[in-house]
Amino acid sequence: MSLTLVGLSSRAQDFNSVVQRARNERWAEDIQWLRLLQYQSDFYIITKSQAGSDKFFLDPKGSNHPDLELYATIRDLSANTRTIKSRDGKFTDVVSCIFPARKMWLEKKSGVKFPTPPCDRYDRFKEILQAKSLTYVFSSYYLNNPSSAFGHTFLRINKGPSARDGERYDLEDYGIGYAALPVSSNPIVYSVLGISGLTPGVFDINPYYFKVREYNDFESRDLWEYDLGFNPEEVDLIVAFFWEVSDVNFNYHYFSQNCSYRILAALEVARPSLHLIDDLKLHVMPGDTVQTLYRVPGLVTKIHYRPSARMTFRNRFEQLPDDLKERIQKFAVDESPSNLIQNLSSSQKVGVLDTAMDEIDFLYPKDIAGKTGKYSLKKEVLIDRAEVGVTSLPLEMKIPWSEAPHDAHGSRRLGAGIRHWQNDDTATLVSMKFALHDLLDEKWGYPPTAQITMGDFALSFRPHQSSIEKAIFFEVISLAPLDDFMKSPSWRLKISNERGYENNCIGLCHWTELSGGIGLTKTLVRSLDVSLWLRANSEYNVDFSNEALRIGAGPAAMLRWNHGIFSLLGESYYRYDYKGAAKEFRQNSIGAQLTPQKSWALRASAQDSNSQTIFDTQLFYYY
Amino acid sequence: MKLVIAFLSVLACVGTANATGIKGAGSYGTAGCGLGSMVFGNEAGGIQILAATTNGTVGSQTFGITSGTSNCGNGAFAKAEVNSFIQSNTASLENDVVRGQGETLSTLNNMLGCDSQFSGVLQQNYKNVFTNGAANTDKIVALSQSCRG
Repeated sequence: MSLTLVGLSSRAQDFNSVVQRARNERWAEDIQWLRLLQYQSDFYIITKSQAGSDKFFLDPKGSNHPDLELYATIRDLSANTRTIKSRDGKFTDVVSCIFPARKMWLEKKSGVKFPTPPCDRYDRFKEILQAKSLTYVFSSYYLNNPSSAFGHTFLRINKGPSARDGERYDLEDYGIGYAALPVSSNPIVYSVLGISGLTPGVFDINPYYFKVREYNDFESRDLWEYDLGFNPEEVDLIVAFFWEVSDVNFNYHYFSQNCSYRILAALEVARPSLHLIDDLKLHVMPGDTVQTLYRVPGLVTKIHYRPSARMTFRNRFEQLPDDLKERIQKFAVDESPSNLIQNLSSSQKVGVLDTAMDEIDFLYPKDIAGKTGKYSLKKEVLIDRAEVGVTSLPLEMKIPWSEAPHDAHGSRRLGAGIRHWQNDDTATLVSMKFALHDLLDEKWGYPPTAQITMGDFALSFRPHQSSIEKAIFFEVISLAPLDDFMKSPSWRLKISNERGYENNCIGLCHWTELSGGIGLTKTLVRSLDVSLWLRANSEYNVDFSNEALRIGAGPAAMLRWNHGIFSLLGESYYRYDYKGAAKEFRQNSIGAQLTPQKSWALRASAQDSNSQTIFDTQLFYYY
Repeated sequence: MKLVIAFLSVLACVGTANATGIKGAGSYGTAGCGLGSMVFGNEAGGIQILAATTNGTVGSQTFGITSGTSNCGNGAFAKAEVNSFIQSNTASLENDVVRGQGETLSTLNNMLGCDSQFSGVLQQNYKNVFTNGAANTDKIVALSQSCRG
């Protein structure tokens, strides 16, 4: 009894002295404390924690008072009596088991050991993860699903080498990502909530093999893995931090506090010298965050490439001799495994059957995952391959470094230059593109045949008149070069407000446009693509002569060269308007860009629309 | 409407966590060694073990049950773990088995405590083990007994 009292009183002393030191030494202003609680600072003034759950705070005013939260944390860790229920009400744990990261930090800061009760659930979490190191993973741009068009990032929590053979097995690791929970099935409600940050976001953990199967195999997206040089102590703190936020909602902001932001905010917790969030733009693009990490000296220790189903097939196909390539091309049409291997030696059979498997996986991922449709064809190939026996050689991958995100141009672009009209009128032109990449931008680090634009604005200034020349809210052009295997069409979509000079408008002629198109693209030689389109436009403007609305469609042809520092894009478009005054619309445009350095480029372009011509010259800065 | 969805969803860097995905309660509950209900509980919110999907059309049926591949005890993986791994990786595993090598197969070997010789055994028994598009975990585990001598 007396021993317990002594224990309690010395604990109370410890607690008092730690709180006293925390006050005197202003620990609540320590950057690591602020980060552990995810306090947001605006212009160096702490406003509020980004965590949106009362259970995350031990002081009732903790969400916007780092100091009160710190004292309450010291109090509860010392007393070791306060318990908190999990949100689902199923589990009850003492504070030190719920906030192990805060405890780690405080013990280091104070030199005082707090009581260490058994923490079954947290220990289990650590035992499952066996975290030894971390890897930042970028899943490449995926145009077939608009929500993934800008790419995606998540964190891989790595185990150590296998005790059995000393090898590392990535598929046994775990991936942790941050995503929005759909709160409404109404897309408008959902989108408005998402943009305004009212959608709850949660962390999710999956075995890494789920991510590989989903991204690499099912969606055919490349994964770029960046090993991060965090030391064991830092890794432990990050894992503990993820545990702390596991029962907490954050608000998911599409533009800013999104998947990449939250992971970087977690990484910052471990190392006070890291300033990752400060480096981010207001609009956080996943590819930019890879560059943010890559720029920190020594942080990225190694880069690995994990090929998509498409790249796996491409590589295997390219490595076949020509006669076997022809067999695969024939197989893509007749789908006959017996024809495929007829009269071949066993090593040749291995080559074609291995390639055929990859071809089916790449072209029919839904069938293969759902074991329907082409799955039976694949099964025949698999049985034939098993019958040949023989171990295949590991596939040697040619790594497409030119698509790696860490070395790409920045997602934003500033431009300044002049616009010149045929009638000798000239204006100063200033432009700003928020994201991401167009067909004339240098393609290094981006999908080589796609344009993804969000928020591209241009303003013109003349002595007596300034005007918005162009506001592209959203535009995607997906060129999908056809070959023996790829048969899907190219497509484009655009929502914009633009100014034209050819419409006999009263005043400035700004129309609102919704347009799209479907086409076929063929790569003539490397980096030179030609596309034929069927395009359709709808344009609305009350100033249009006669009719405010124009709707029309017609053919277009496009030629594009983009290689190294030089790119060229030309398009000719004829449109017949079934609604509107002019009836016929012809547009020819051509642009060329020189990019001597990835942050700087010079672009010149000309556009002739119904015989009204404009010339632009701009200097671009990417950042 | 579709356009609105397309436009607005483009603004997100990632899709959404699928609310209907599999939550913490694995199909074998607390007995498994993975990130099962023992750790997180069932309800929405917090870290969830979701069958990751970005477009909502790929649900649990595609990626199968969620589990971990964590070490369970003394370096051996529990059968439930092995089963989960095999079911979730069937397509890739089949490729590796008939080829006699590959990452998915060597990971399975590691989980079973087998070396690359076992790859040959699986290749020879491919037709018998992978029937009707489903891998038979029992048969694989039974065959792997030979690895442990």
